[in-house]
Amino acid sequence: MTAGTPLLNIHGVSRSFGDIRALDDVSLEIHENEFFALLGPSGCGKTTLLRVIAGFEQPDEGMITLDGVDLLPIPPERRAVNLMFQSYALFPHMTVERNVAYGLVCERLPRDEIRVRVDEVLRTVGLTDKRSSLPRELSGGQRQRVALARAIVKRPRLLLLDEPLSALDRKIRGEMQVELKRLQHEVGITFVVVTHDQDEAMSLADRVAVMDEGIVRQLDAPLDLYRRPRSIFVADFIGSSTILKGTYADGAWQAVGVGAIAVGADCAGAIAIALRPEAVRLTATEDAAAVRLGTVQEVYFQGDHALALVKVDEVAFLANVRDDVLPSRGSDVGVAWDATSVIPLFEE
Amino acid sequence: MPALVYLLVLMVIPLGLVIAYAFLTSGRFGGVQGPATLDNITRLFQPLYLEVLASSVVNAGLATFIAFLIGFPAALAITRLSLSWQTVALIAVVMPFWTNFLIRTYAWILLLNREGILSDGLALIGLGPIEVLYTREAVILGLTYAYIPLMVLPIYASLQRLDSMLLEAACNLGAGPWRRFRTILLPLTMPGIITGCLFVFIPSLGNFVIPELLGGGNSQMIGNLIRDQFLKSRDWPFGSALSLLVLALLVIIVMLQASAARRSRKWGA
Ligand SMILES: Nc1ncnc2c1ncn2[C@@H]1O[C@H](COP(=O)(O)OP(=O)(O)OP(=O)(O)O)[C@@H](O)[C@H]1O
Ligand SMILES: [Mg+2]
Repeated sequence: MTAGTPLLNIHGVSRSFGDIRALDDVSLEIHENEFFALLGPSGCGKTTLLRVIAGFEQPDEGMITLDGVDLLPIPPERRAVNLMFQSYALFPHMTVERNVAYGLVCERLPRDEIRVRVDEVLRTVGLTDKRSSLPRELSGGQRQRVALARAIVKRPRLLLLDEPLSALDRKIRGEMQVELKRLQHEVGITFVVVTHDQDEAMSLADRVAVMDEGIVRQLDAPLDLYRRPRSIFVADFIGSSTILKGTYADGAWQAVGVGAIAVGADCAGAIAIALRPEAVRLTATEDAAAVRLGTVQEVYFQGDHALALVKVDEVAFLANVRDDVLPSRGSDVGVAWDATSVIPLFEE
Repeated sequence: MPALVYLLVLMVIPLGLVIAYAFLTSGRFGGVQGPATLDNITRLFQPLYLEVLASSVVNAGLATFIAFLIGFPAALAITRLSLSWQTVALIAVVMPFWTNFLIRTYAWILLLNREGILSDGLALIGLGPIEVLYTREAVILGLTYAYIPLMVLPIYASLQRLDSMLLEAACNLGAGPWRRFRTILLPLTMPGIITGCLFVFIPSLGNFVIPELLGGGNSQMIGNLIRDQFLKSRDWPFGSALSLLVLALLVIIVMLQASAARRSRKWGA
């Protein structure tokens, strides 16, 4: 899925607002038909990047090409890129139908063709019976689908979605995620989705760029991002993990506060190691497999399993435990993991 | 309760008097006397008076239109300024109101007459001298100038409320500047535009100072006619009837405005 010709090439793009560096030397390639996610905490520059691609902000430096053509000199109204706004930005004085048709009217398409394409896209998003409603007469989820329909009806080369699902409640959100994915396969458009919800990015995207303070910290497929985060930031941001700072010496990790730990991976040059909670087991204190001994501090239910927080000296370890063998708070346990599950981290 | 007193003293009683006067006979030295009559009303429909009304509507309408043509871009330009400069610009817009209306109108006499700045300036580039003063154009200019702040302010307010994201969305969907103006900016600021137009049109229609000072004798408007009925001809009943005519016209216009406003409220915020 990730293979293919690069459709959009972003090279060394920076944009500052006063002292704030909203984008700092961002370089990305986005491939044809890819579902690409931009993930990062609030204020990290995700919206700014989309606005630069759509043409509402000019970068201070850098280059962007679409299909090999320099995008920056092209005015926003002539870019083959559609943006679905974080706040939807539906035209309040137009019906659903006219909102959706707007982009096609701008292209001066024949009336019949516009009608056919609007009908088709309204059917796709399931809003045929709402065609004559005004935006304020719709629910949040319906508005979101109008915004989506308005963007995809143009059949752009590239569709930018700025937190398309953030305004929805959990249940509709799940449904819409499935919908988005289906739509992307159906219409064959390249999607760039901004989100600060990691689950959303991980479940939807072919590749994810994790951003922080205007910098792309890591760009990988979701599974690789989860299994091989390169930095403390990414290990922490994507899923949860136990982070042990320290140094690599004598073939073992000299962890601050916990002492030497055997590691399966090459940790030369690492500044910390991470352990995913599912790689950490709790054992009886006398079990030979126990690497360290600790005390259970807290147990969080997660549905099909629970997450236990175990204090080993001054360091908190996270471990997944099955619902049927819950440890009690305050009990002493052994903490065990395989040396091969240790993930070395090379950056802050 | 104070609102009720206010309404009674300033609205109901004067209006009642005007309506009553319009159906009475004029007294010999002004004032009114019996018997009741419909003569004043039928007299309104004489071509002479209808013509004055029509030309007043045209003058006020043109002044309103020009005020819109200048006021809309001005309001738009103000919204593009930084917040502190917006305040400065708005103060500048209302600044003329700090000077007496008559004095400002006299100032135009100095600007427009044959020896005035406009004429001299045009003469320098070989286009003058010209006489603008005491023409209909001067009246329209004067009306536009006098009330244009009342056009700018409501339009500015509705532009302020407009979500700039909507214009970006239109742009992203491929709309050029003219289409964005026509399909987004104009309809969504229509309530402000209509309010501004009423604020300019209503006082322009009844104005008699500007036609008198800048239009000379040639450009009588309905306001002059009404004033003359009371102060020169001493025909209060007919003056009242003319006033009712203007009032009826304005009521119709305001009702149209109210229905337009209802429509735009339906769009929601
Ligand atoms: N027009 C602007 N003027 C000044 N600062 C801006 C402007 N636009 C963005 N910024 C700043 O740039 C940084 C990045 O903003 P951006 O909107 O791209 O964040 P984001 O990642 O989309 O955040 P969120 O998840 O909250 O939407 C922020 O610190 C923001 O304050
Ligand atoms: Mg954002």
